[in-house]
Amino acid sequence: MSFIKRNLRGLVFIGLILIFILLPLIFPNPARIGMFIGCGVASILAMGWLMILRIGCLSLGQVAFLAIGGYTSALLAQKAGISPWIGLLGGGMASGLVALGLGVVFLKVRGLSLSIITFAFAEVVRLIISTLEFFGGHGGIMEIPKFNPLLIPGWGIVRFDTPLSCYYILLLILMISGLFMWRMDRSALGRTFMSLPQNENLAQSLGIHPLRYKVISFVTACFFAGVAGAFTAHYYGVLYPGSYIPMQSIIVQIQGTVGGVASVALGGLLGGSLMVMVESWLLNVDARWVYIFYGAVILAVTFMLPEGLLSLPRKIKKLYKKA
Amino acid sequence: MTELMQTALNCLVLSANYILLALGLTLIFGILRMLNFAHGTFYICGAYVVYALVQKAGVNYFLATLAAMVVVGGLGLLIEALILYPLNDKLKVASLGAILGVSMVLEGVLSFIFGGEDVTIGSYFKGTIAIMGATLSRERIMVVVLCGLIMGGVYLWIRKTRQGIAIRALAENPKVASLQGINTRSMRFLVMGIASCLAAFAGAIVTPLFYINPFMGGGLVFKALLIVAVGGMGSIEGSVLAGFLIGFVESIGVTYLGPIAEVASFIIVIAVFLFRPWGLLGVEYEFH
Repeated sequence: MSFIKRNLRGLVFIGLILIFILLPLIFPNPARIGMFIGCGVASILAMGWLMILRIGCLSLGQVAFLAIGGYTSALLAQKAGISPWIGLLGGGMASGLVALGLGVVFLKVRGLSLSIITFAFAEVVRLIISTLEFFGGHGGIMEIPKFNPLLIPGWGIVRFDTPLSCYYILLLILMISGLFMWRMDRSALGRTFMSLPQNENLAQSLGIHPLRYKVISFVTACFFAGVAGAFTAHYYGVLYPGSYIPMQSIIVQIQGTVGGVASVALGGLLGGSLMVMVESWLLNVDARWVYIFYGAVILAVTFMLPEGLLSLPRKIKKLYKKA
Repeated sequence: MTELMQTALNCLVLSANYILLALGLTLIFGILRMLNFAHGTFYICGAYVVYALVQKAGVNYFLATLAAMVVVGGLGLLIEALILYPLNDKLKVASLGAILGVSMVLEGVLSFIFGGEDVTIGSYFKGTIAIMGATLSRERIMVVVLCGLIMGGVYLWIRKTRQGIAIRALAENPKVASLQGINTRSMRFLVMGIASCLAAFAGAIVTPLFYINPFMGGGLVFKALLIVAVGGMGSIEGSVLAGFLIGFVESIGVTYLGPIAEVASFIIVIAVFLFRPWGLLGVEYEFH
């Protein structure tokens, strides 16, 4: 018993990974696997959003980084013939570099203005990719190369052209980004992030350089968003500017809020996957329900669980004690 | 020259419409310290009330516009009473999330009632007028004149009446203002009601000109938000100035450079923020 208690965190982590590895084997329907992939991408975005929220910035432009990653990797593969595997990293790097430039210049701005800047930036990106011919214009990019087969020692040549194999690629990305952000959040670095929105001047007086830490958090979140974007490019094989509308950024925000601010990695994972699962079920019924669903969920969470689903166990415990 | 004139007059119509939306947003921001993301949806609600009354029930257009203002004004008051006021003491992120939720639910409900297609009531006033070689329909002129009248009215109300002074005082310093005996709660209701009416009016007035659909509110509110941000949160003169600035840059850019020119308005926003983070005519504000 005490062993379980002492290693609870590690056990939860191993359990989660086992569940994720087994999930597509239990539900082998390709449509289901597609949904799980959607969950993974949404989770990475929501984690990034929560990471940026830590420094006091309510980002309304996360899809821009998804778009930058996706377009970079797609163009690298199509025009320069670079392998999608390197493209994953390239997409992340491109997103991270753009975030670095943006962050150094704009993260000085605080509060609502910063939210509006992130939104405006996302719109600039969307307008550029939907008007310039170089990026495929309104029609987007077609026929992006899929992940090429890899020679894995011991297994021989492994092909990555089925949804199932792509699911495992995404699982790897999700695990790396989740672990990275989890460790970052729980380290001294994460606590420094949290001090910034509370009292930036005080933090500065203690020798913390606010801008440096803000940029670190912003670049990390955007790097992983870029990798996720690059993955979607090679998984779907097409990119279309219409999928990067402002509404998508707001959905990321709702997913992050629903998951909960207590933990970056768990909150993002919970919010992102739960919301996408319900969303994909509703899409089969009637797409119009999706709007009502997202709206109703964010309203309910705001009033009843302002700290998100992660605070649910504590709330239930409290009620239980009272009774 | 004629082309330039035509562009200028057309963008006047667009700017006037945006400015009406931005006025409501900036009023709400001044008093409620919140970005009303549902403002664009209020606009669409107003447009749909007019569409339903004129197209389906055959009511006179002006009566329908009045009805839209009453309905949407009531809706705004309801949302303020049920959702925004109870969240007043919480973090601002909470009311932001809640208002986003309201807007999405409203969009969904509208699409269930009216369907997701584009609709319009068609041209209501026929005929055109030539001004310095540019041809302009009577409707567009009516839109500009009516928007101008309403803007002037709001401006006088804010600048000259007791209520207006109270609102400005509240926007500047809520604590000191309420110490002077200004009732914050009733002022919040007043502002929310009037701002919703303005949004409904802006929506109603363009139904003969443009196609509407339930989901265009989001794009509109962001445009209006940019105008408010460039002009300075809570500043009415700033909104008008920024509305014309963005409206003109966009229309002229799109006419001569093509759709890529839309980027220009976002670049303006980003540039303004870099040098004046609280907008052209705004004052520094606190947001938690």
